Amino acid sequence: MFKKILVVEDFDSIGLGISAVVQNKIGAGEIVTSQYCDEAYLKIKRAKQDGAPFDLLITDLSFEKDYREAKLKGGKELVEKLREQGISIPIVVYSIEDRRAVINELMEIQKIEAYVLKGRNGLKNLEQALLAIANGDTFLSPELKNNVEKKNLFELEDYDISLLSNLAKGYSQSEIARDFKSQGMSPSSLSSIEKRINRLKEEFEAKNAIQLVATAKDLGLI
Amino acid sequence: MVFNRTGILIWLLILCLSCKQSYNETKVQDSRISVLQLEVPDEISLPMKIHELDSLIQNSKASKPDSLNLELHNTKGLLLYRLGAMDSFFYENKVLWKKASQENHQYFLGKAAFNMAYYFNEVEYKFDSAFYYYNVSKNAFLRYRDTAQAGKKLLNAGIIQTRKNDFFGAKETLTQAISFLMDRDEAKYLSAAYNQLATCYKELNDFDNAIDFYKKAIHTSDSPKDIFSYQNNLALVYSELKDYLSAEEVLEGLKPKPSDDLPKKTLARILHNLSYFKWKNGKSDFKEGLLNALEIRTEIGDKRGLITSYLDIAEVNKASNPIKSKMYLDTAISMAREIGMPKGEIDALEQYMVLEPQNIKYKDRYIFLKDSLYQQELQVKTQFAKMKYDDEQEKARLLALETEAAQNEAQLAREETQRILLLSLLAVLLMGGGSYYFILRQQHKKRTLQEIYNTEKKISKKIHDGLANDVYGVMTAVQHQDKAPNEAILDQLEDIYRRTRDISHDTRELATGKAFAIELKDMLQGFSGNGTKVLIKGMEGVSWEKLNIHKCVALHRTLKELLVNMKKHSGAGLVALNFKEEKRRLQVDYSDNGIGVKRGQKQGVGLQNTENRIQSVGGQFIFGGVEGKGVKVTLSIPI
Repeated sequence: MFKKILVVEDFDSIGLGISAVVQNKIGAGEIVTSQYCDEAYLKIKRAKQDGAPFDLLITDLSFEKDYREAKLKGGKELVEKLREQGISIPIVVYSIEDRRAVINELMEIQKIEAYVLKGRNGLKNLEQALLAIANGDTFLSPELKNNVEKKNLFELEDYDISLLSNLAKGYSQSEIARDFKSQGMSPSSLSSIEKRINRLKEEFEAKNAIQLVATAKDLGLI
Repeated sequence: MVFNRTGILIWLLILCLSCKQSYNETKVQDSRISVLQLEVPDEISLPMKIHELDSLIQNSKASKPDSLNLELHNTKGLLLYRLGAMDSFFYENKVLWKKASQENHQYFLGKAAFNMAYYFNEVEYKFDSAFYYYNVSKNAFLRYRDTAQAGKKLLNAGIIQTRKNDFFGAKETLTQAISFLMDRDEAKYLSAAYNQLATCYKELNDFDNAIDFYKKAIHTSDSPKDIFSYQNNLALVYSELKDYLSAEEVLEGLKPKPSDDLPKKTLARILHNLSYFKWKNGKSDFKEGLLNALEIRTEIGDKRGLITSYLDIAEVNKASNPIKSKMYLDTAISMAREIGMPKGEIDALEQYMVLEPQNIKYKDRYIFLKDSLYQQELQVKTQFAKMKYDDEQEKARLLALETEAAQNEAQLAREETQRILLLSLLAVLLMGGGSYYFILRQQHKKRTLQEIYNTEKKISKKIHDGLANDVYGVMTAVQHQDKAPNEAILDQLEDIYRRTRDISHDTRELATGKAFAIELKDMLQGFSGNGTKVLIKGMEGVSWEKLNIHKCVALHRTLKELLVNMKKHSGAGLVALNFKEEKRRLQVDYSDNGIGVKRGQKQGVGLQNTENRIQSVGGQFIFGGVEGKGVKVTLSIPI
C-alpha cells in the first residue's frame, strides 16, 4: 500500500508501536524512523532528490528538547515547512494534542491527510487512518469528531433572546411571528418560531414556555 | 465758680470729642488744637487745664501710648508754653519725644523735636543742640511725608547756621528749605527762606545774588512787617556796595505807618539805617534818627541793635569828636563781649585802630579776635557740617536699611518663588517617581504574570510531552507485547494517561485571537453533558484579537475554575455565559441554577486565585448570587 514511510517520533516505544502497526496491519515496504524534525525534513528532501521519495509521513507534534539545537521544534513546524516547500507528501499527525484549534489549523490550513489522537485506541485509529488515506480520504480520530460535533454546548443567538423576551412579555407565538415580520427579522414564520421555541425548551430543559422564560430570567439572559 | 466748673466741663467735652475723632486718625492736625484752645473760656486758668490734662493722661496711660496719649502730651506742652513754664515745656516735649519714638509716631516725633529745638534756640541759646533737633524734626516730618513742615524746620536750621556764620552750610540748607516750601502755599516761610538765603549771599560777598533773593523775598511775602524787614536788608546790601544812594532810596520809600504795627526793633533798624545812609550821602538830617533809634533799642533792650548803633554813631563822630567816638566804641566792645558777638568787637577795634594807630593793644586784640573768630567759625562750620554729615549718614543708613528691607523683601519673594519652584519640582518629581514606580510595578506585574504563565506552560508541556507520552509509551508497549494484553492494566494505564493529560490541560499554553475563542469553547464544552447544559451567548461578537495572552489566560482559567466549582458543588443543570463587549471592556456574566452559596460562605482558594488573576490584568471580578438561586458572577476585562 505504502512503499516508503517516515515515522517521526522521539519516544522509542511509541515509534516501535507505530512501526508494528504499519508493518503488520498495512504492510509497507520500508519504514524509516527519526527522532528529530530537522533530520526528518532532510531525509524527506534527500529521498526526493534520490528519486525514491517517501509516500507517507507519520509525525508526532511535540518533541522533548535535548542537547541538539532544533530549528524545527515540533511536528507543526515540520508540516508547515514541508507545505511551504511545496512537498505534497501525505501526512498523518499522531499526537496526544486534542485542542481543536491546533487540529483545525492542521486539517484545514495545512491540509494534512489525517489526525490521530494518541489514546487507548490510538493505534487502531492510526490503522483506520492509513486505510482512509490509501483510499484518498482524510481521517480524524472519532473522539475528536465527537468533541466537535457534540451538541452539549448550546449557543444562543440574538434571535433566541428576542424570542424569550417576547414570550416573557406574554406574546403568543403568532403575535411574535407578526412582530418579527414587521421588524424584518427572520425566520419569522410561525412554524420556524414554534420550532425554535421547542428547541429552546429542550436546551433549557423546560417543560413549557413558562418554565423556559422563568429559567432564562433566572440565568439573567433576559 | 459755678461758671468755672461748667467751663471746664465744656472744654473737656470738646477735648474728648476731638480726641475721639482723632483716635483712629494718624494725621492729627494743629488747627484742632488751636480750635480747642480758642474754645477754652479765658476764665479757666492754664494750670487748671494742665491739671485736667494730667488726669486725662493718667487715664489714657492704662492702654499703651497711642495717638490720643501723644496728643494729650503735645497739648500739655503747648499749654505750658503759653504759661511761660519753659523748662516744663521742654520736659513735656522730651516725654513726648520719647513716647513718640517708642511708638514710631513720626508726626509727634517731629513736633516734639521742633519744640525742643525751639527751647534750645530761644531759651538756652544752645544753637548746636537747636540745630540738631531741627534736623531731627525735619527728618521726622519727611518720613511723615509733610515736606512743608520739613521745609520750615530746615529754615530754622538755616537761620541758626547763618547766625553762626556758616554761610555755605546755611546756603545749602536754605536752598533745600526753599525747594520744599516752593510748591506749598507758604508765603511767610518761603519769603523768610529767601531772605535768609539772601543774607547768606550778602555775607559771602555775592551781592548780586543777595539783591536778587531779597527782592524775591519782598515779592513773595504778604506781610508788611516782613517786607519792611526785607527792604531794610536790601538797603544794607546796597550799603555794602557803597551804593548809599540806592540804599537810602529803598528805605526812604518805606515810610512805615503806625497801622503797619511794626515791631519797635524793625522800626529802630530802619530808622537807624536810613539816618546812617543819609550821613553817608552827605546829608545833614541824620543825627536825630540815629539817636532816636538808639533810644528805641535801649528801651527794648535790643543789644545787637545797640552794638550797631554804638558802632555807627562812633563812626559818624570819628572825625568831629574822637573822644565821644571812642566812648561809643568802648560800650560797643563791652556789650559785644557780654553777648558773645566777636564781630561787633572786631568792627569796634577796626575803628579804634584808625583812631589810635599807635596803640598796639588794639591791634593785638584785633588779630586775636580775628583769629579766634575764624577758629570759632571754622569750629562751628565743622560742627554743623559734622551734624549734617551725621544726618546724611543717618539718612544713608535709613536708606540702606530701606534698601536692605527691599532687598530682603525681594530676597523673600525670590525665596518664595524658589520655594514654589522647588515644591513644583518636588511635586513633579513625586508624580514622576510615582508614575515611574507605577510603571515599574506594572512591568513587574506583567513580568510576574509572564513568568507564572511560562512556568505553568513549561510544567504543562513537561507533563504533556514527557509524562503523558511516557504513560502512552507504556500503554503501547503493553498493547503490543506478545501475549494477549491485560485489559485491566490497560484501563488503569489509560486512566493515568487521561489524568496526566488533564493536569497538563489546566496549565497548558493557550492560543490567542480567534483560536482562543475555539479553545475556550472546547473547554466549556468539556463541562457540558452529564446532566449539565452550558449555554453561551455573544461569543461571536467579541474582538478576541484584542485580548493579549495574559488576558486570555486569566479569562480561560477563571471560567474554568467557575465551571469546576459548578460541577463539584452546585449541582446546576444549566449554566449560562453571556459575553458582551462594550466600552472597551469584555464582560462575561456567569450564572447557573445550582444551589448557590450559603450566606457568609467564604470563597474557596481557587476562586480567590481566579479573582486575583482577573485583577492582575486590570479586570474586575464580582461574585454574587443568592442561596438556593444559583451563583452569579460578573467579570470584566479591559480590552
